[in-house]
Amino acid sequence: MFNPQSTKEPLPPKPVEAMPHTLAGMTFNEWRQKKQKSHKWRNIRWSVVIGLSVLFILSFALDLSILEGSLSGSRLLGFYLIDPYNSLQMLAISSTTGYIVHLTMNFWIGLGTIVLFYAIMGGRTYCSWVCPYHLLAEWTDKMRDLLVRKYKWKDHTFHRSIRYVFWIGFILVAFFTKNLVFEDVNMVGILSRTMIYGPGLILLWVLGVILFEVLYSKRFWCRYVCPLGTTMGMIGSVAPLSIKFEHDKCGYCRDCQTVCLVPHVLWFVQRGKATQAVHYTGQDCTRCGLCVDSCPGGALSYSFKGIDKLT
Amino acid sequence: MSPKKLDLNRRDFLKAGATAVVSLAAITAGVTYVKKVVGKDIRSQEFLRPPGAVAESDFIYGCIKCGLCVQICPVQAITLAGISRGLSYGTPYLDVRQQACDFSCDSLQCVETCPTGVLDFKQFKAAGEKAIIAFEEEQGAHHGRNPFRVQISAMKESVKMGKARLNPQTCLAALGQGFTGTPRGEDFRGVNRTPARGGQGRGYPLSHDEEYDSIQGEGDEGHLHEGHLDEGHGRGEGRGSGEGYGRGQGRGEGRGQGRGYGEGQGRGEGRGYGEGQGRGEGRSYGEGQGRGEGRGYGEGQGRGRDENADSLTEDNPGRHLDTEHTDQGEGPGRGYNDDRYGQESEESYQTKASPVREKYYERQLCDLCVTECPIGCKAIVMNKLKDGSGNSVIMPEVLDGCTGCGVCVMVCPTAEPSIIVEPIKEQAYV
Repeated sequence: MFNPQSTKEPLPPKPVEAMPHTLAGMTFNEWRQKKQKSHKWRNIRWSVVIGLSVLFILSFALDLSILEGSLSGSRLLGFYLIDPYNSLQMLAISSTTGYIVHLTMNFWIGLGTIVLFYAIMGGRTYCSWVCPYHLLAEWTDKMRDLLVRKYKWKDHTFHRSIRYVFWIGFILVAFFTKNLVFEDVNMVGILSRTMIYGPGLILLWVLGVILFEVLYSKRFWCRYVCPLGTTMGMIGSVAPLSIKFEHDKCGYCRDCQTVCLVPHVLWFVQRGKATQAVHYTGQDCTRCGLCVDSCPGGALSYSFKGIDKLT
Repeated sequence: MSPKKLDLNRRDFLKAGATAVVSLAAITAGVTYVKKVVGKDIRSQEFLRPPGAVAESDFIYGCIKCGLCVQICPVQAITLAGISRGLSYGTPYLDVRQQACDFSCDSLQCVETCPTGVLDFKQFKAAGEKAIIAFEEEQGAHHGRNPFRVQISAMKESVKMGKARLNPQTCLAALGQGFTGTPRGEDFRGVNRTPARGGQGRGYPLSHDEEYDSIQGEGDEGHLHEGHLDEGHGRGEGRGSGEGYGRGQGRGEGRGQGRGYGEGQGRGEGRGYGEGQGRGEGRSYGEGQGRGEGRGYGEGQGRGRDENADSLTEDNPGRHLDTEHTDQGEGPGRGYNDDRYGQESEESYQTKASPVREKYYERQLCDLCVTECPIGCKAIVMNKLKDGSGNSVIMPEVLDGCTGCGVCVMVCPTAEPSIIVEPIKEQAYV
């Protein structure tokens, strides 16, 4: 869990003759630049995130009854959907108080639907395709990138596994205090409720976290803290939907890692790192599609593991 | 991966992990301190939770803060707490002064929609089913009426969010004052579904004592008619009148006619509601009391309803009373229809909530909290009570049937509400 990289021996790097630019009869730079800048998947994804938020807002404001509730718990055309980490804390507490038997069938169905859906679609897909904080952070990331690139600010990184400490920690906090303490700091819940039910003082906390991320450590919340994201990662650890990497189309340009929001999931794109002809991204991958858009050789694509072997 | 890098990695993890553990432990200690030592918290017990809320200690973690109850509420009575409420952040509560729960939704939708059951629907479902069974038994198999109404009514009545408490120091009725106008001003945004009217009156005499006395006399006459009541026809009757304080007693359901509670009544209400009455049996409280019954009819009939008139005419001495009553006439009594089965309520059932600012009241003695109460005579009545200095005054009395919905708080015309709802602190889930 600490290291997604394969322990197998890497494949030998491709010789120049086998590189895609040679096969296409171009120089490496020509090949790399021939690809039109595309934002296809980013645009689709942003539309989905914004569209879901708008649906949430309008469902309440205009009483549309399409997507009611908030990201903590909602009803899509009458079917319940429940936040898994919130549920986990609540279940931890209610297992000792006996409240657990009072949960409604709608709760279990809603939780089951979410778990099943993200187990197929890739857990952290939630992050880039649903989470409003992720989108907000994508925009503020640009400021962070500017500071690092132009003003040479140091980027502070931490060990990614501390998110597991937070994940267990917040459950324990809930368990011992008998309160859903995490909900008071949960970016997803806060932003979702703010959009739907109106703003409050709690936005100061969101602002604080964003400032910390811009000024000190990129994506601190998403990468190292957010236990909801961690839960989603666990749910999606075996998800068939992922990004597929085909070694023979790769030109080792690493443009994909530059745009990737969680670059470590693309560890196999470096020259001499890939251990198989085909790799699939792991549980941290948010399936955002930025790499797919950026790849000059088309080596990266969305795929359903198993199904693409059939075709 | 080289051993050196691995080692660095591990050191990183331990360092960052330790920071995380310390900060989480600090949070736990902080929360525990505030809860245990400071005592109240955070979990503010001052909240009036939506209907059916389980005990606050379970509510606080069982609620996942999704806001579905907020969205489903047709009058938007529910709001989510802000971060200034600490760990209650995101949990639903009612600010009834701004918008009360007036049971507009008819089926406790916030409770039904709650996914985690912290708004517990089971208790209401059970109450509704019980009421239907009782209703069927009472009415026989072919009553041709819609029992759904009975179910809804029973569900509403089993709500226990809190209980209203009157402040006689500022209550207009307790001060002997009336009220004319729109209670909360032209800018007030709250809405309310005015309960059905008609049926039995719960009035009170505005008159002086002497008058009151004389009225009582009449009441006695009314008694004569009791037989009539037994027969059951009778619709009509009774209600009407507004009478008296008296009524504290006996509320029971008695369908049937009207009986009045009553003393004093008779006075006929001029106010509009009269009309409704007649039909149907309603439950009047009052049964117990006996007095007064007779007079009820008087009123009912006066105003118009054919049905009544007929039935009374046929075999009823009621008419006689009628006349007498009419004489009494104009009085303040005001009835409202508590009648669950009657047609009148059928119509009113469909009444939609409308802005309080569009409602205009003219009362010689302010009783808005009583007449606007969606539960009716089981929850609040005008009664003759002793005030602080031992004088008898007519003022609202909150009864055990109060659900804590807060409509009385919302419509109270005094600057600071003279009636407030105190939350039920603990409610066990069963």
